[in-house]
Amino acid sequence: MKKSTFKMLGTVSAAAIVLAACGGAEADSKEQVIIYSNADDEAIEVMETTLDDKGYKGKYLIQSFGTSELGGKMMAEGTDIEADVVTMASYFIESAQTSKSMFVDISSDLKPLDGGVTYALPILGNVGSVFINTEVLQQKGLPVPKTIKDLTDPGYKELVSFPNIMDSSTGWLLVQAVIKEYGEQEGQKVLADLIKNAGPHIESSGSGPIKKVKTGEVAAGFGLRIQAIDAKNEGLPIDYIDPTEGNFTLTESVAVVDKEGDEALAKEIAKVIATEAREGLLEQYPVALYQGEQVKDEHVPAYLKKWDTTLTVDLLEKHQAFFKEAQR
Amino acid sequence: MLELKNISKSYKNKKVLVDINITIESGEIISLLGPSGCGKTTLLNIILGLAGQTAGQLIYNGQDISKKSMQERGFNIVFQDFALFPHLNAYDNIVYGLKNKNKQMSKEEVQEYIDFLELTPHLHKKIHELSGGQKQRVSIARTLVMQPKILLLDEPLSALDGVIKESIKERIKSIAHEFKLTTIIVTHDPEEALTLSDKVLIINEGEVAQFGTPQEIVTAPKNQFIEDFILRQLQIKRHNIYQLFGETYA
Amino acid sequence: MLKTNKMMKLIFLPILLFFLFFLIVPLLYMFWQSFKIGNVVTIQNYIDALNNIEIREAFFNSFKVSFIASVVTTVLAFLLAYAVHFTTMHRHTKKLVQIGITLPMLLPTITYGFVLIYTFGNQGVLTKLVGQPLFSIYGYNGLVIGYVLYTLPVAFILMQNSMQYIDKRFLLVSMLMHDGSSRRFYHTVFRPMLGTIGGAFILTFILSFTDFGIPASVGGNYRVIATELYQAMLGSIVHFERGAVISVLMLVPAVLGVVMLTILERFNFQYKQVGQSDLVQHRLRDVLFTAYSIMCVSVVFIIFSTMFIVPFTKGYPYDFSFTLEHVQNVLAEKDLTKVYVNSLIVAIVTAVLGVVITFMSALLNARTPLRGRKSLDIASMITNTVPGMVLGLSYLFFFNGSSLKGTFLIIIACNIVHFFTTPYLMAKNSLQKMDPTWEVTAELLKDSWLKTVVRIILPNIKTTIYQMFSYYFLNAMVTVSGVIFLVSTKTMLVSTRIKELQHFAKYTDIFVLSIFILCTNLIVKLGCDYMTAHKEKVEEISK
Repeated sequence: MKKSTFKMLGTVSAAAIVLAACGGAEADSKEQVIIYSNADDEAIEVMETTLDDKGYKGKYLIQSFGTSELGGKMMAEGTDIEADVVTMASYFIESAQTSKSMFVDISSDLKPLDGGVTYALPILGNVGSVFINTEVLQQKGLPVPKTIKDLTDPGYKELVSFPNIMDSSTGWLLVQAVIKEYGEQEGQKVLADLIKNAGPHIESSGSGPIKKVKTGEVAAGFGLRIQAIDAKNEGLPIDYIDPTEGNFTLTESVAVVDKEGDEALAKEIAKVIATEAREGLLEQYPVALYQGEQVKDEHVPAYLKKWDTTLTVDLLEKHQAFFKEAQR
Repeated sequence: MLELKNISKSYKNKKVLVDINITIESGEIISLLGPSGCGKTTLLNIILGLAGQTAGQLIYNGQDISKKSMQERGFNIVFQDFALFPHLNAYDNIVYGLKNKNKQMSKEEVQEYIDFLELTPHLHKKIHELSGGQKQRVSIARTLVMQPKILLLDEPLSALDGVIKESIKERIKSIAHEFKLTTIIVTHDPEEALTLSDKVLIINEGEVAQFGTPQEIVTAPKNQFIEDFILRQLQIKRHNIYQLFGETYA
Repeated sequence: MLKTNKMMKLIFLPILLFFLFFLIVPLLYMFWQSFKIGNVVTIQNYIDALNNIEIREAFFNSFKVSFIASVVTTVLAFLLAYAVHFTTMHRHTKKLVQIGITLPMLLPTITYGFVLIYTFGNQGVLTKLVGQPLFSIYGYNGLVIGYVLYTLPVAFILMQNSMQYIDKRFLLVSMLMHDGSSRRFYHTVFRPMLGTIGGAFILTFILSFTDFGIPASVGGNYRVIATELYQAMLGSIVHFERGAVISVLMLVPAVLGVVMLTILERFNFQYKQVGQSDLVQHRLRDVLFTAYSIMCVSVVFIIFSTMFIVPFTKGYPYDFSFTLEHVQNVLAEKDLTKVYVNSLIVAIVTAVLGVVITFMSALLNARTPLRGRKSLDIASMITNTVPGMVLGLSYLFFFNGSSLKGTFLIIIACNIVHFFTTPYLMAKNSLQKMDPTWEVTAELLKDSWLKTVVRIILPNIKTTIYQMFSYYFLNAMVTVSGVIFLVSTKTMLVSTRIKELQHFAKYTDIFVLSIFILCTNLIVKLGCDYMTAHKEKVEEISK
């Protein structure tokens, strides 16, 4: 009888200790800067390594999101967002600042090529391209595609993968290329055929298609050019193809959330990401963003193109609607 | 007439029944009496056809039925807790087996059984609404409409209250006589066995301790076991009752 | 009779407050939100939602796919339970079924989807063996298979329990009455099981209808209501009101289901006692059921084996050489080990506090005359009805801006409430079976009520306590839908982290983490089972 009483007391006190431990853990992590990021894991790895090297180990936590998820969170929560620092597609940061004015000034002597704004610093640039799994292509007897439109060939049924513009900004690069090249009417048809071909392989993540092309789940995909270059260099049967419709680009930036004066560490960390991590990021995402940056020739896409107007969330929503229309 | 010839049963090395030899006349009420674990339930199952005997023969009306299946033998049993289908009402339980019979029993005939067991007022009740005695009678009716060649009753009185016991005893006797039905009852209660049946088979540790009429057993117990466990109990009961009422009532 | 005392009230009050703040008020608040646009109270949100083609389609899809999955599950589970209880197949085969079928319960549903992709997908293990994909796994097919895998254990356990209490002697009665096999099956098995069959069907339907993990992983572009809700709350454009409306819509079938379950209750009847009778040998039947059982278990094993193949091969599907590299990578990543520790903390605290709350609730309900104790039954019924996603969302609405937001406590509270019903009923059953005169006896021996509970009730309910602990722990470890809206960066759990890893298509990491969960759960379950068995053995010896 006594024994069970003791056991009972033991259990209760164990529970108390665990509870206290949680409390402790939380109190401890209060100091940490929370970074919300839509970046791919390669980019996040670079940021983490740089931050750790610069002595910020344990002082920050990175939480990944899909672009749309993070965008939705920013628009919905404004400065109430859990994050102290955000790295995100530049157009989203700009739109969020316009509607919520949620970021603080971090202007410095850095010189972005693109003029830039005071509340954000560009950290990386993305270039879109088509890539293929040469083995699967051969196996299925498909010709090597030259354009995005080539992928609408019925031979690619369930063998092509691309990111969904509803979730991923890489997906937007595809839609921009299609609309720009073919206009609204023909573009609609190209997109509809592409959607039909992709079937279940429309990915929510920008890194989804390359993974599927790598495993041979599909023969061709659309995604970031660098993903294919890396895979090719690893010795995988992957090749990248610059579609004649154009390699469109997007930049991502870092910004610091307004926490009513409590942003010192966050600002430091944001700066480190924009400056110290830049070298590593430039290697991963070879697009020059600041004055004086250079990239290798193989990283210069064949058909570099840009959308005529500034990219905004409004434009994205318009293109999303266009995509949805094509989905019907 | 049912003859059991050298019936034996053993599980692995354990002997449960050893050389049972008895003859049961048609229309007799026989009790299988013995302490729990003596093998009486096993014997019941062997007669019913649910369990096979290790050795020996069963002869029914001159025919060897040792190898026949339970269904082919056409005996039937009323379980201790009646085993009535809980989702059917009393009437549907009674006529349950009729649907499986080739020779249809007429409504009147069924009604005869129902009347005989005085079940008319309870026919449309659900099973859980019936009293113990009523369930017992429904269960008996369900078995009787199947017109079994031999009726087996497993501890028929143990689930019932004191007062109702006596009336059920009478009922069982009258069933056996009315329908000339050979009835075999399993019980562990000596009083029950000796007051209910024409003959009693007392089993101890798998062997026949005595087989005879109640009179024979009381007046001429064959061995020490019968005296110690069967008669001694009855004597204590008698003593207690005499003490209550006084010798004059004897 | 036992009288109400202060101690009882003292325990009752916090429990009551707990349910008020973590169940009733958040749900009402969410309900209220669904009627608001800004500050205007209106039903416009519902009109908008019902006019929205996508939501209607998702609702219809959810209904269809859950319906098919529950029909399949119910049939499969019934046959499996029948094989275990009504055939004389080998007892090892029976044991194999009982263990094999329930094994997937130790994994988060989100893992099921990935496992399916790696089994049936273009590069799946099975596809490799067959040469070409058998069917497209994404969308409808994947959902049906996933839901079946997910709900089969639950349905099987339900049927098994029920069949165990069927009086087998009716088979004998039926034979004596010269029944044919179909009539025998109807009266001795099917009819007694009817209530349970209906119950299992409804339960599996609700589970499938409200699950988030499986559509999140293998849903493809097949819209279901759970992913639609996620989209509304965490998608590119956040619609809080729409989220609230979808939750309420999600509640509707759940509520209907529970109502139907109470109606079905009438089809159940209890056998006074369970007579055991030897089943008749039947060669063909036994062979068929053995084959069927082994097939079912094999399918489960084959599907889940991919989980063990992928993370231990160098570069699936090109390089099949064995490696521990991926596992080491995960172990080396501070981030991933941290979420594992987080999950462990949440599961342990949930289990400990959950057991305390459920035990106390059951105790007050079953063994005291306390006024208002029936309210605990109502709480148990509500928690049984509310899907985890809806509960989590209601917390998100209600606790938004409070200091509870983003803490472990809110996750733990959500788990305790979400999984309250089963352990509560377990405890209640055990308590009701105990001799009702114990408290009075102890009182006559001058024990206080609390002392009686500690000295008499607790030692006698120990085995049930272990089982309750195990139930809470396992579920807290695997739940996705309950906590998806509640986790923050600091309180990330393994099951929700998997969702995030999916975004990067890091399937090896997903599988490694899943194996962690599986092993942890296996250890806890075996530990609890061992303690239960050990305890029972000790009791037997002391008898």
